Amino acid sequence: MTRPIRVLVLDDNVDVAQGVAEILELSGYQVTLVHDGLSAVSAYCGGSVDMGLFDVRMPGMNGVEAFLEIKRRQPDASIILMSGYADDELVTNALAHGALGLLSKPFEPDEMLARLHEVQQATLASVA
Amino acid sequence: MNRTDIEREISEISARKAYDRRIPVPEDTAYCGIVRAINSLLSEAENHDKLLRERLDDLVDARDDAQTSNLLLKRVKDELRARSVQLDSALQKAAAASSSKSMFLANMSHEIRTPMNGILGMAELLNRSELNPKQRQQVSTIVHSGRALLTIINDILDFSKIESGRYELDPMPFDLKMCLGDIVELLTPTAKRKSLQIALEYGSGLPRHFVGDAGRIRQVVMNLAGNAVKFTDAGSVKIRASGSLDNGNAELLIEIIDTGIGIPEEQLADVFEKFSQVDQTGTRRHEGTGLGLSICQLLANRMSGSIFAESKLGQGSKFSFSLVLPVHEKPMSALELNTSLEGRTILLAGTPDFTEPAQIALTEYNCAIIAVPSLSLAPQALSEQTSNGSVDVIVLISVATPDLLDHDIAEFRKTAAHAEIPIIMAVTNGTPGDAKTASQAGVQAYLSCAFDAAAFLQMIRFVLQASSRPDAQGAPAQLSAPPLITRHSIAELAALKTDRPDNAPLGVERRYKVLIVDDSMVNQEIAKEFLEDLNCDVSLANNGQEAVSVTADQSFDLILMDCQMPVMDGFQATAAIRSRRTAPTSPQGPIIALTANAFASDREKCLTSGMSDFLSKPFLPNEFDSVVQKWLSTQAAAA
Repeated sequence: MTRPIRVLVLDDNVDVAQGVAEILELSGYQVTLVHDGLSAVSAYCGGSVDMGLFDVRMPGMNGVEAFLEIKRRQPDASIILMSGYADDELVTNALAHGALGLLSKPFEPDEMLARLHEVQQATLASVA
Repeated sequence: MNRTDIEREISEISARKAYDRRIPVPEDTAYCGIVRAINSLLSEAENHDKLLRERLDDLVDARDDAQTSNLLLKRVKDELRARSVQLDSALQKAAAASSSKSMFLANMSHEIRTPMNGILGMAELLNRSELNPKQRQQVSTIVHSGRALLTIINDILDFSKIESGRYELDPMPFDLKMCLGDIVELLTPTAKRKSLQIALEYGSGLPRHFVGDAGRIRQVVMNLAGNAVKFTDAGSVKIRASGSLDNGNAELLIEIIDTGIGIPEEQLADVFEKFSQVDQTGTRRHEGTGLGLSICQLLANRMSGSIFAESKLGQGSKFSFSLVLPVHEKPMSALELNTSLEGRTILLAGTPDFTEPAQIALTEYNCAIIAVPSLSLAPQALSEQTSNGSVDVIVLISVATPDLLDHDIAEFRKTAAHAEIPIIMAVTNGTPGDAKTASQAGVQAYLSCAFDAAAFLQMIRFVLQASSRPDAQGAPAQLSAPPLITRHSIAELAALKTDRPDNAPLGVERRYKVLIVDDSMVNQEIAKEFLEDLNCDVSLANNGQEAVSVTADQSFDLILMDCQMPVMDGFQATAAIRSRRTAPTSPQGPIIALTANAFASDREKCLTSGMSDFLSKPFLPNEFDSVVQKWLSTQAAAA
């Protein structure tokens, strides 16, 4: 793999979004940051994104709604959720519709990297 | 629904916090009002509960986010710290590598210079022997190629030395103007060959004497001016010195301005990079290591200055060398020319291009100036503008060579009143032989650099002084034919006045005893031949030990000592010779180190071990001769 993996990070909390972005960049990912659901949909569907890392709760279109919209347009989209609400019905619904796991906030950065790596491997395997 | 039902319903709702439930309104009018009221309260409670939950969710979300971002931040910090440690160690490794690179370069250049010494020295000796023209051509090719190679090696060595910070400037009082004048003089033959004008403009009012590393300053300016001449095919090269004084320090600006090929804008920033040359495409018309400008920039930085380049493609370039030097308060004594120009009348003949700068240079001296476009118009101007039809001095300024002015001068001299007026011929580009032609044409003084205002003034003063001396007055020029006055004769006079004994010529009547200590037969032979040409009796020693024993019962006027030798090296030998208690009949003369190691630190090591001077190998004949002669003349003075 010559080019870096491109990750779209959605979180309305700027600190979290930037923290995630910095760690991903330090680990060799290429990151695009968005802070609301609509921007996430247009960024993901605009192409040049390999994976999504979406927060759930936020004003306006939330992370799950954005996820469902993207899934509707791109059934093979790879998106991981981040939320403090593991038993949230939003989350349950998203997982039922093909979200690739949930990172329960607060999570250790290593957990996030490990999950991203798993998804990456799975995607590679399915492509190959 | 009776009262009991209603009560049960209420307690159930309360226990389960099921505020979204409502109690069915009973038929019984006694209860229907209160149930409706309770349902309305429930609906309010439901709203409040929902709001509360949302608030709580937001709070939890914010807490989760804060915790998450803390974890992320901590990780980012750790990661960055780890990377900076990595970078530090990488930096250290790079520094170590760079230092070992300089060491390698130093060692390598030492290794190369030693055999180069053999090649160049032998070729030089071969050149002095009987050769047929073809052989002479071949030998001179060897010499030229060898010197070119030596230049490259020296450049690389110099660069690595300066870059690694392993050299220090050597500040001494010096005459900046003379230093720049020497450069112009050195480049004049090359410029002349390309029909270029080359001139020095030394700011009037700018002091001449500063404390600085004259050798390094000369190196920078020589490099820039040499490039200017090299890359200019028509027009001129000008060296301009200006500056401002501040508290005993001068901020100097030396500009080298040419009308040459110029440098494309996008390459202007790169010219100071190592190994870059503008003319990289096609034929390599201009040779060099490409290190010159990088070295200059490093040197300028060391002198609290820098070098800027400005250029217009096809129109020319300007390199500005700025530096800060302390002004030297007590300059060395020079020839005092106190002849005043005040009240004198000076006629300038030449096209306005040339006479105007001269007029400007003369303005502050209160002399009358008559300017004419050519000498043939001088008689008319003199009769119109002077009372007696004569002037004190005439200056011809021209690009033309003296033989073209021959006729004009002869015509002018025909009038009796004009026969004795001293004429100075100032040309912008002199060639060897011009001075002689000028003398034969009947001029009294010849100046090869018309645009050097100070030399110009000095020349006029000197000529006025000479012509006002009683023995010169009235003597017919044709009979006495005093020697032509040139810049050099003035400089020589100045040197005589300063009375420096170390310039005394080597006595022919005395033979000097010189000892060569070197483990290399080749070096011994080269030095021996050079010395024999200098009227010396030469003895040889193969190492320090032999030198110590041969000096036990013999005195030498001079000892040339190699530094690195088997058995006993030059430093030990020098120390042993110098500390010897039972000296032979008379003390040993100076010891000069011969070494292929050209670092300043080596020089220091030589001097601290008791040696007097230092010759780096391979020695070039001129350098060798001048150092040896310098020390032998001190011996002659002591004897």
